[in-house]
Amino acid sequence: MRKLTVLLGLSLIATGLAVAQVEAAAPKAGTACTKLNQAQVSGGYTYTCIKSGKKLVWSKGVKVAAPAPVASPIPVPSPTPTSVDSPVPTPSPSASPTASDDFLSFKSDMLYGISGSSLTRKAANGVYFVGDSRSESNFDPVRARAFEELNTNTGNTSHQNVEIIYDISPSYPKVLVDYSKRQIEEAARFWNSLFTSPIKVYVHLVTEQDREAIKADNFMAQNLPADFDRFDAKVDRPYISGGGGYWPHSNGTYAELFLATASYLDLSYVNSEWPQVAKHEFVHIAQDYVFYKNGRVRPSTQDSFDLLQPLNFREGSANTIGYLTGFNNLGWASDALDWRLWETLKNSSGWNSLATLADVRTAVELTANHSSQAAFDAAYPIGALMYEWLIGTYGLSAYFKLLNSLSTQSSFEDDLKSAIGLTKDEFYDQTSAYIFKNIQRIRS
Amino acid sequence: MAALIIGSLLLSGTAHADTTMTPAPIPAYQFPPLIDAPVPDALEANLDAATADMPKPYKDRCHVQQNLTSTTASCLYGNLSSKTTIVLFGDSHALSWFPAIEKLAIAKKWRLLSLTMSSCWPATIPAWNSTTNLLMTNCAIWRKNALAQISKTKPYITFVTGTRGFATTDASGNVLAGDAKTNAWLTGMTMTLTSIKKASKNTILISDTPTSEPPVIDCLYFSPDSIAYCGTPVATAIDTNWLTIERDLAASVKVTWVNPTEWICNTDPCSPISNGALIYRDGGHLTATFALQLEKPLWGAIAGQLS
Repeated sequence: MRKLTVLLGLSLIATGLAVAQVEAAAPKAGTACTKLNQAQVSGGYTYTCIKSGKKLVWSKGVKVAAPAPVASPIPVPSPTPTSVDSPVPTPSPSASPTASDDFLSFKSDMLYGISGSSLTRKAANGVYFVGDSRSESNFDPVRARAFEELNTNTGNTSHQNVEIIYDISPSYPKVLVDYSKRQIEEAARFWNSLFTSPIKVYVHLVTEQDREAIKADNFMAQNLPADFDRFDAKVDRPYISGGGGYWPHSNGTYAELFLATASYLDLSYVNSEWPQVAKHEFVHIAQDYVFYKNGRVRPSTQDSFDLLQPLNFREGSANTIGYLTGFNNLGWASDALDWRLWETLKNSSGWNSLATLADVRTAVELTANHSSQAAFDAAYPIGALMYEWLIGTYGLSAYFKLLNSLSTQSSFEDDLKSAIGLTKDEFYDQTSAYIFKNIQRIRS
Repeated sequence: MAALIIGSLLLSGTAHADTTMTPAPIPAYQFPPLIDAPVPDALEANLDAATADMPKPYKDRCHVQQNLTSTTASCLYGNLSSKTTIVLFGDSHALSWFPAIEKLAIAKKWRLLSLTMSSCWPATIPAWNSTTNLLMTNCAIWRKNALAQISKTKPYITFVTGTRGFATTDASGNVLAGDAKTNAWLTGMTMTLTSIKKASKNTILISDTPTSEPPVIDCLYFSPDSIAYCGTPVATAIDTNWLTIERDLAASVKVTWVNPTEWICNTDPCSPISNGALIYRDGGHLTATFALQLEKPLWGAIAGQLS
């Protein structure tokens, strides 16, 4: 029997969290503020809390700077908490924000904003920051190295091998349009050298108001109606659903990437994973490109596909790269990865308690294929740690080697041996230990 | 049973009160048997894509979805600077005609305005969604605005068509069936066509197309050696009773009636393929590729009747 199913990557991100956040009141120049040097963005202007005589007042607003060209995928982490586009004056030592100013527990609700070209994150104190005060030593060395590997300029300052064609729905939230495009452009630059021939990427930014429009695209038509139902129902927090892949169509071989969300999306009430979805999906384009570039025939079943690209590799490494390149700094990326794992731990009891190293080892095996919905869901965070470990231990070049071997090898085992010299069992054993260590840290 | 009089047309049960003014029912179609053949290789290779072989107003966000009332797109095609505008109006079955009508507009250097909404019947009647069991209140809003746009546009030609698989209710919200449903449709279509006639120099009512027994694409996958196996019996595909009702309505309201049945099905069973193109992408919608083939017969049918 021939199957109509298209074997493509799809990231579906949802949450049951439903806590609305109350935004701080918009600042007005000259009115009282409480924290010296605090910055707040409102209406396209940045206001800073300054001293005027004995009082603390909001400064005259400074227009938020236009986005500057970005050469590397994302900015390097800031060593100190940088208040949003804080213009002047340079804070005196006594007025410097303390480490706790930008603190946010990964178990809490993570809200992000967009200021100019930057992502901002709301700290526990309600203030939005663009940086994170924690130093690299606060994080697992493997994670820190993986972050550094992924955020060191790959040498691509443009994406001449990637032509991006946008289809942007008029209903796509305006606040996300430029941000989404920047993320996609950054991903295109990151992966540019992998593409040995020019490719086209059709990018669709759509909402539940595009039900009829997506019918003309099989990829979206197969994957988005259920998301649109959820957005229409408005019973849970909106999210960004993504899909990405590269495959032959009737009118040529090209990539497609979609980001779908609710037209009424408000950044103060949205699933916290949204900043990394575009980069996650672009990984699938890269995976498919190398997989098929030497004329490999599309596997006819999901099982045979999973043998060549295990699910925890396909979605897991997309998560590794999505998270570690989708946020401004190591701290936020780490918090987001921890949150994702935390959510999995909360919900995994019926499937695998992940209580012991043996449990984790079993979970690694189970997440290699579509063994169950729970395994599918867990493949994202578990696989993310597996490939964080690979990149943090062997470097990004090893991941590229692994990826490129997809085009020629007949099994994933061969891919691993070729890339890092480990058998699949050895790789699974070592990554299980790393995952278990992270689980213990999170549970402590 | 209450009778409804529309011009010379009276429906009461199965009887026609004025048989002298009402043409005879359309006889059952007698077609030669379909000569079996395998699915052409080029088509077989692209069956995956056939479900999305749709007219471009879908992608252009011109086909209004059920829970909206309008689109922000202009939905103009063809020669945008032309002073002659033609209009396509109706539901998704109307939109199936877009490729043919756009091709006609391009050939004649006319401007084409596409006004369609999902599951919103052109007849001025409540649109009942049998899947959700809800009244689609947005349809009435969209239809009223679309008719107003036609009035303002003053088209040279307006093409109107819609599915015979509609559902509607009475004023109390009861879902209608049988003659009551047909009579409601006749009343609603008369209102719609009368409104369009006031603005449009020529109004064309195209009868609904024959249907296909779904899922034709899956069937061709499973049986690539026999297109006949995936054909639809004429008795299933063609509803001669409905064709008669549409024809008589057109005569009653004095608009041009086009019957496309034999352009789409002319064998028994109806073939799923015509000139190498898949005819249907699902049970009731033509593929855009096939619909392009309908431009010539459509023009042939109306050219001599335009004022």
